[in-house]
Amino acid sequence: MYVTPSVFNALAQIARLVRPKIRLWQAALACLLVFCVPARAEVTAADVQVAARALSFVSNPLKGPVRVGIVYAAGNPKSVQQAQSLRSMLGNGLRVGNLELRPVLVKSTDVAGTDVDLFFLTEFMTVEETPRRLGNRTRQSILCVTTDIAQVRRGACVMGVRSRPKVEVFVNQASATANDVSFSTVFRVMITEL
Amino acid sequence: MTRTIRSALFIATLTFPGLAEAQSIDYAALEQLFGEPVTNSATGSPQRESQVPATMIIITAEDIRRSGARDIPGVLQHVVGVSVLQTSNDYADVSVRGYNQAFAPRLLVLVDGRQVYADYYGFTPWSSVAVELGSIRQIEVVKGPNSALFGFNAVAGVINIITYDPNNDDVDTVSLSAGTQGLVQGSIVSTWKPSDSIGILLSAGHREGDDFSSPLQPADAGVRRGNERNAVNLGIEWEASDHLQYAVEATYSDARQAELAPLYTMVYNDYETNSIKGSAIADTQIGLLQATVYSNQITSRSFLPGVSGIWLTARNRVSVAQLQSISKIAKQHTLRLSAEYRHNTMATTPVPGGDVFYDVAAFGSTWEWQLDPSITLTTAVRLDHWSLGRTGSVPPGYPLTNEDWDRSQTEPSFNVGVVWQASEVDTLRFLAGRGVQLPNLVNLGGLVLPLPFPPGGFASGVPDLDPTIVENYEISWDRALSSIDAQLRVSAFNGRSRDIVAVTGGARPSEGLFGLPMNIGNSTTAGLEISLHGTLRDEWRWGMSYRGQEIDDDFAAGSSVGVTLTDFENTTPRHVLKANVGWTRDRWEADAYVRYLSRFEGVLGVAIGGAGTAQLVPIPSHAAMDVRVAYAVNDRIAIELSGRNIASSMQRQTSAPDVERAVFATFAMTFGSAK
Repeated sequence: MYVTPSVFNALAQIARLVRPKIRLWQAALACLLVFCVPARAEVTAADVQVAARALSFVSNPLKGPVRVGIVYAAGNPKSVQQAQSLRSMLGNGLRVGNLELRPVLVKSTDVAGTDVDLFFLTEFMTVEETPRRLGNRTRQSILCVTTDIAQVRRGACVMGVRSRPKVEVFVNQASATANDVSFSTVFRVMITEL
Repeated sequence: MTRTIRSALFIATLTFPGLAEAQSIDYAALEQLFGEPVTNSATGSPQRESQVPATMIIITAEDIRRSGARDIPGVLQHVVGVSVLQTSNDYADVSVRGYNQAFAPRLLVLVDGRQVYADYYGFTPWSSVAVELGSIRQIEVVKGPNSALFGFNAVAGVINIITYDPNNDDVDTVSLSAGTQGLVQGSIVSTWKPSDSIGILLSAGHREGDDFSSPLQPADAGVRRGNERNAVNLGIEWEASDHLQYAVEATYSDARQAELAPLYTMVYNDYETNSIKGSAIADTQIGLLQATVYSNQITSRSFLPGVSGIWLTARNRVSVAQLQSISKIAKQHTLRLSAEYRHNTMATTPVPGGDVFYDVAAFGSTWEWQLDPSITLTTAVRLDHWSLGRTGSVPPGYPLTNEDWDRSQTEPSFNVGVVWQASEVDTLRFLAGRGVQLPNLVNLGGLVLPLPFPPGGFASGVPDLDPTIVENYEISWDRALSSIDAQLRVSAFNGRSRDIVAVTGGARPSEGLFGLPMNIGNSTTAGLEISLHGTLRDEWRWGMSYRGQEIDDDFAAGSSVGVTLTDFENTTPRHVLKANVGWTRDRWEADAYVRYLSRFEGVLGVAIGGAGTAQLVPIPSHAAMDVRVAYAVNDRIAIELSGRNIASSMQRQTSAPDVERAVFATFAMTFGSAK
């Protein structure tokens, strides 16, 4: 059994509203002790589907073959493992809607020299391991997607997706603006902006 | 009208500078992304079904197909909390949470946001709605008042029928049905794209048949003159760019059938409707902007058999212009602003020469505030200013003058909803709403009927009726029961209606006015809805629901004929149970739907000038069953056998003639590239 952020947030909300003496960290500790298990271990096919579907709401949406740069930290075994798992999932090209996602493994230290259409940031990368700016030779900035919502929250990646327990999409609007990425209004009102 | 639409589109284009590059609403893409239906019928902004601040049910195209129904009321009667009174073979009155009556006025019905509710008599003539079942993407049922979004008459609820989008959906179907009561029905729905940016949807249907053969009241003899429906709908969408879309739609329908009229006597009605609509949607740097104009016209010719034996012709036109913007003004805040103008006019009948009309100017806003990732507060308010008027001549001896109609009024509406996703599986909603129901144009003076019997005078509408105010307070709880792959919903509601309008019962003998509509008082209600539905091993689907409801009317006495024809506490069944089970394996599909209503009463009316008084008659508790069995011959062709009310050959369900069993076979085929 595990508890999602929505449950955690609900507990925290109750803690704030109903029991003001209980602080946020205390609620979090209680949650961890009683319910929570460690964060997700892998990117699922459903996550990839959500990410690809969400891409159609970006301005100038990508179409057809899309080179997906899977960014990983070479010295981080979990990150490497997830990158390899994701590459296997995409195979020689995974079709979702009108996109065909073609994987390219990219070391976090090599993003500037890699020509791809989209970056997918693996989980488990530390702040130090995460590239500061996801641009390359042809474009100063490229849309970045991840399943690690914390990376979105701190601005390392524009969009975060989650397919379980329900589909959720997170966008760091400041990061989107900095990367010259915009989304349709319909999309923006239906997702969570961080 | 064409010039009006052109002008509106031009103005819309001029007022959308600085266009961002993004898309307008694409239901299919959003549904694929979020894995659940998407709607904008709760707040005006697109939302996931699970997150709307309203008690809402979305009936999908799959649900419609499996219902086995041959019309929209047939689909709706399987939904918890929706009441369908089948008063003839091709006519039904639909309401939400009781308060159903002949020509049910409390439920606002729209197709893609265009109202098909007929203001002149305050009802929805369902068979004249120019939509084929095969062209419907989903039917959105919002329970409770929603005037703050949709304006007047959305008091018991709103039904918004969403059709396919020819730019994003590919639908090509034809169906042919034949069955008992001489039923012959056919429909075709087709989308095509002559270019990447243009999509066209065409749907058309024909139905003909007989009415039931169950016994009629003597005064209703001659009302069964053959039922027929023809309808066509043409819509064109043009995506001028990724961020700008234009759409036009034209509809026509002609439907005639026997039905139960507001005086609770049978009439034969022939409706002819047409509409034209234009809209522009632009996604800009300040948000999504939408401009819509439309005009509906309906002409009805009503044959009143029996003692009256006359034809009444009514003509009603409503013209509407709407503007709205949806903006995400901050991370946790979405704001929708709207403005609307409408002109609604009806020619007096049966004495011509006058026009009764009202103009409405409205402003509204909806503010959605995400207090926390799990808690959202939505507040919607709207002000409607309506001005009543009358032009033209009055007949000799008529005691009212056009000046009597010079009045105006401002009415506020609101909806407040808190949605709390308390856990992964639990969602709680706390809802409050105030809606406004306008008296219909017939009751506001559209009817001018000289009485051909002593003491003479007129049966007439009057201009001094007050709107009915409906308030509703509600708590609902949704829980996902993953262990049995099911969804539970429990809703408790409490409502109050003030200044309810009765269609007749008033009189001003000194002025020679009789059979007048009047505000007769208030009514309160409280109820509980419980529904549970799920699937089993992918092959089975099932559902069950219960609605218990009490209504307490507090109406003033004062009817000159002994009964006002308005009684909700006795005519609403206290207990309604519905259940369904469905099964799919390989090429076979079968579904059965059962509904049970506890004993209630129905109003039995008297024809104008007829002897006696209207009365309440008992409607025994009863269970009715609908079924559908289908076999897919291949990926494109299916053969179906459907039955409506199959449990008994003839059954008393309302005070109208008994409902008969109906059975029909359908051949359905998908053509073109769609499958």
